Amino acid sequence: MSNDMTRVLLTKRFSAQPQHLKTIRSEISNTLSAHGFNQDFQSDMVLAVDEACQNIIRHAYQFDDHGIIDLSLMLDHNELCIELIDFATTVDPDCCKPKECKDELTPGGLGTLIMNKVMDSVAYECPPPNGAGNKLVMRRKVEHSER
Amino acid sequence: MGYTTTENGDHTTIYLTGEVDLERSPLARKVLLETVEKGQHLIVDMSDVEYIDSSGVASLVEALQASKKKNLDFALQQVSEPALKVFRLARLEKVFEIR
Repeated sequence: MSNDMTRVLLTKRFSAQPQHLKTIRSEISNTLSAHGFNQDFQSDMVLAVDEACQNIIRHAYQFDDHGIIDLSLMLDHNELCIELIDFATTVDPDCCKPKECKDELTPGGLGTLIMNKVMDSVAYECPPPNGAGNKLVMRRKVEHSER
Repeated sequence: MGYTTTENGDHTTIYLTGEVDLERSPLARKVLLETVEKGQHLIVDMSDVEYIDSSGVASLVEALQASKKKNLDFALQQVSEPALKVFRLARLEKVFEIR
């Protein structure tokens, strides 16, 4: 996503380790707060990014301590775009779609369900950028009341 | 995330505090499951839970399932707004007994 009207709100590299998720959440929250987004919107985006990062840590890097996540937040007119790039093995792009589950207590897939509930779209960019393993792009339209 | 515990006969209340995320949810899971393993009916107080994600929710679900297998009671109390929001997103607000 890039054009003359796109504003980059945040672009940062993080270590893909569970103990760094708190820092990532703070960065998202602080960045969105600084740009006038309300608490509800902030908490939705924090949750979506946290769940996406969890998936990267668990499934892409399988808790490898050396994994890296490149995170970007961009605002294009009234749409927030969040991009997460990792450098692990490229995954099946369908794995970020929520699976229909009749039993609420069946484990697995909660994170993907939550991401798809708070974002308008969640999808892998195929193919990923050169040198990257996966690029997840999440988008959410911003209502007037959310800023 | 931190926790404190009070016991009253065969009932234990665990007070979770702070952020229950991928880093901290293994501790929550351990504490909850150990309590169920001891045969205690369990109440989880979530009034001071500032943040919970799917890994934290999964720990609660696992403890609920373990309790059911042992015919033990399991309930949440004083669930904070941030936690309730995540339960609703995960469609789990009707799965837990919430007091």
